[in-house]
Parts: sequence; C-alpha cells; structure tokens
Amino acid sequence: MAQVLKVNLPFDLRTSHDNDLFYKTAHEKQIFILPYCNSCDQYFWPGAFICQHCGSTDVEWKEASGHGKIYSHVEGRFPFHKAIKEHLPIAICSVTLDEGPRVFGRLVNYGDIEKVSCDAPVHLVWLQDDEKGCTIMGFELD
Amino acid sequence: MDRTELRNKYSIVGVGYTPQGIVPGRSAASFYLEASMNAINDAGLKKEDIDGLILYRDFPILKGDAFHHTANVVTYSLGIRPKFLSQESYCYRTNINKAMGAIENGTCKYVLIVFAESGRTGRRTWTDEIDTFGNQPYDEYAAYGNISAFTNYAMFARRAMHEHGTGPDLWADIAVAHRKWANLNPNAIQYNKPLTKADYLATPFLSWPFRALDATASTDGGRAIIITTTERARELKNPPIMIRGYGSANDTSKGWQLTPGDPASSAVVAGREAFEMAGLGPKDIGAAQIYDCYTYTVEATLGDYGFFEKKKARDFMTVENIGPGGEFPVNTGGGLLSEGYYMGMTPIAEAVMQMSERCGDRQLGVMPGTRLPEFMIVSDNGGFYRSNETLILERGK
Repeated sequence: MAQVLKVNLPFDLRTSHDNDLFYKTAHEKQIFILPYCNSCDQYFWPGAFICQHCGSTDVEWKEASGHGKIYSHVEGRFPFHKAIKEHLPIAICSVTLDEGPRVFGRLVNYGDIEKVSCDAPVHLVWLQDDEKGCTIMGFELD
Repeated sequence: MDRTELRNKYSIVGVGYTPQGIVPGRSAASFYLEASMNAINDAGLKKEDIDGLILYRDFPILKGDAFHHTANVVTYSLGIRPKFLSQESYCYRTNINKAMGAIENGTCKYVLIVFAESGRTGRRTWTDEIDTFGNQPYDEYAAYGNISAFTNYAMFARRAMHEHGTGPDLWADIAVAHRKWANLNPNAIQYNKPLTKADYLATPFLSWPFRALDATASTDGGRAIIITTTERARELKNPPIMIRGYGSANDTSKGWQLTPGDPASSAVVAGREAFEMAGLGPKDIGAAQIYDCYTYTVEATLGDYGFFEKKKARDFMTVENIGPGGEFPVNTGGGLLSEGYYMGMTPIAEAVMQMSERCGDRQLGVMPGTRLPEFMIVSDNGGFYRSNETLILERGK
C-alpha cells in the first residue's frame, strides 16, 4: 500500500460522479484504483461512463500498481493565484502508469527539478489533507 | 468532396484594429465595436452588409464591463441583424470554418470575426474561473496546483526537451526574434523595448522550464477581419487576400496530456489538409504567422507543419532565420508574444496586412534582404495546442 504524506492542498478538490469513487477510496482506504474495461481488457483515465478505447459501458474500477514513469514535469514558482503562494515551489507531473494510462499528480521529494529525468521510474504516494478531507495522487522517484 | 474546388474561392477583405496595450477606462464592449467598425470601413462595406458575426470566444467578464459579451448583445450596439451568429464558449478553433461554411451554404455574404479584451487594465489572471465559482476550483487539477495555461504548456515544452533536444536556449531565440519584429511595429506593445538573449536568460523561471518571456500577456483592445467570396472581394477596395488552403482539427483533452511529436496532432492534420487544398508544400511558403501563445508553440507548430525535422529545430529556429531580414520570416508584427494578444486575430491580421503591403518599416519586399511572399501560412491554435485552424494565403488581383 502506498505511503501517506500529510499536506495542505492549495484548493479544495472538485470531484464529480465520474471520479468520486477514486478519491473516496484513496482518502478512506488508501487503495489505488483505475477505470478498467471488461470488454477490451484495458485501463483508461480519467474515469468515465464508457471505455475510451472501445466505447463499452462494461467498465469498473480495478486496483492498480501505482508504478510508472514520468512523462513530463514542471515546477511552479510563481503565484498565478494568491491562494497558491504559500505552497510554492510546487512540482506537478504526468506519469505513464505500468497499466497504460497517463495520469496527473504532484511530484514530491524530488530534490532539484532540473535534474529529474523524463521517463524516470516513480511510485505513487498519497497526499492527504485532513482539513479539506481529501487525498490526491503524488509521485516519488523510485 | 474535392476540397481543391474551394481553392481561392474565399478571401479576407478587411482588417480592423483599435488602440491597444494599456488602454484604461475602456470596456471590452467598446473594443468589440471599434474593431468591427474599423474592419467594415477598411473593407469599404456598410455595417448593414455584415450578415454573419462571429465573436471569437467567450471569457469571464472583468471590472469595467456591465454585461457578458455575448454575440447577440454586441450586434445590438453595432446596429446589425445577422443571419449567422456564433461564439465559442471555450478554446476550440472553428471560426474560419464557420465563416466559409455560412457563405458556402448560401446563408451569408460577408462574415465578420472579432475578438476584444480589456484584460490588461481589467487584470485578467487566467485563473479567474476559480474566483468565478466562489473560490471553488473548476476542475480536479487545481487541488494538485495546476491552475494556469502556463503550467500546461510548460509541461508540453518540458517533454519536448527530452524528445527533441529543445529548451531555453532555443526559446530565447524565438522570444528575441519576435521582439525584433515588434521593434519595427509602432502598434506593438513591446515597440521600443529591445530584448537580448542575455536579458531573457537573466529572468527567473515562473514554472520551470518556462520564463515570463516565454508567454504572451493580457492586453486591452480588439481586432477584426471580414471574409467573403473572392468574386465579391474583387468589387471592394482592398486587394483580395485569398484563402488558397484551409485545414482544421479539434482534438480532445487537457494540456497535461499533450504529446510533443504526436503524428496526428491538430497542427499536423490541419496543416496537411491546408497544403493539400492549396496544392503546395512547405518549400513553397515564403513566411509564416504562427499562433505564439508561448515560444515553444511556434517551434511545435512549424515542426508539425513539416518545415523542419523536430530534432533539427535548433538549426531552423534562429533569430537570423526567422527574425527581420531572415530567410523565413515568422510573426512579422511581433506576434502574440510581443505585438499583442488578440488570439488568432493577431497572426491572421498581420498576414493580411503583409500580403496587402501595408506594413511600413517591417514590410516584406521593402525591408532590405526580404521578398514579398507569394504564399504565407497562418496558424491559430487553442485548447492547449489541441485545436488548430491553418490558412495558406495568396494575394489576389
């Protein structure tokens, strides 16, 4: 099970009927699940009513590894909104998971951003905000 | 349908500018009206001739405006009663497609496309959707700290560093070349403000690997163009600037999902369709006006159009090649980066002005060492590079 780090997030987490289960499972059970299509046997992201590959509605959430490779990453150093100022610098990344989909997350414990390589292997850590009552995806270099 | 039948059937016949840059005390509505009337006058039309109106896209309203700028409100003050009316709610690129379509299907004769903003004095932050919803984010990614277009384009560019060997050294040249063009354009916001590569490199990263100079900035003002058939255009006062080739593609999804080098990107698809309709290739094109919301966007677009192999961008994207006096002039008014942010109206208006030889000190064919191009390529992109309209323009007689 992925490690949990306590954090203060810059904004509330806006969820929808299509991803509520993902974030609820993350917050309450710290289990990483991905949308999965039973018709074409592929994972996809983000969660949706139909499979993005084949259009089938035979989709469910299935536990996944949380392992992958960084696709891209940046480090925000400027307060584009006043509420983010105290959280800077803040690094974000996209990660190609071993299961296939590319997901979005915070990059944590990375040192010097300019020395982090694309395609570096990473694993999931949960970033939990007790005050806001939510948990989001973070990634740490293996 | 054989799209080559539409080759040079449509033309751009008028361009409307307004005061621009920092223009306090003016509503966005006022710029919509002024830019529209200036385009109508430039074309030698009466406002009653305009039977199609396209407001470029909708943005949240800012201080200084009493109402939301929807197309049906602007028509009332403009005193016109169009048959075709349209405005995108988001960042898709369909304006030229709709304008030509509304004429082709017999609904309209003259379609006006206009964009206006009071974003500079109105302090648009590009995160205002957060505040619009009462400090509630508008998507799940804000909680992760991803709240600006800047960040998404920086992610796109950072992956391209890995894939194609680009980076700040090349983007500095793009920023400097645009500034050199702007220094020749008295309308440009960055006129009289020279920029060197050392200046660029000395500025801090706002979102590594991008600096402020990698991005366009909000502005006040408006800009408009008018499209009609080339047959009607020949009766008007300006030389028709003909649409020889046109392509569009509107791909899906969020900026962080962008994939540099995607062989089916919107720019690749729209560019290929425009070249096919025009019966031309990159070697036939004499200059380009490229949607340059960010420095890297120019490199990505020209690479996707096939002007160079992506790993050889460094050889093509030099100040000497794309700047004033260069072999392949790009964004000759200074572009969105240094002239002014009027979305796709910035590149298309500059293309029309160049092709009709109205560009003063920066006029191609007049500046030493330059030629007036026979064909010019123009791009408009939106939705984090996911939407693209491409035009190949030719001067008509």
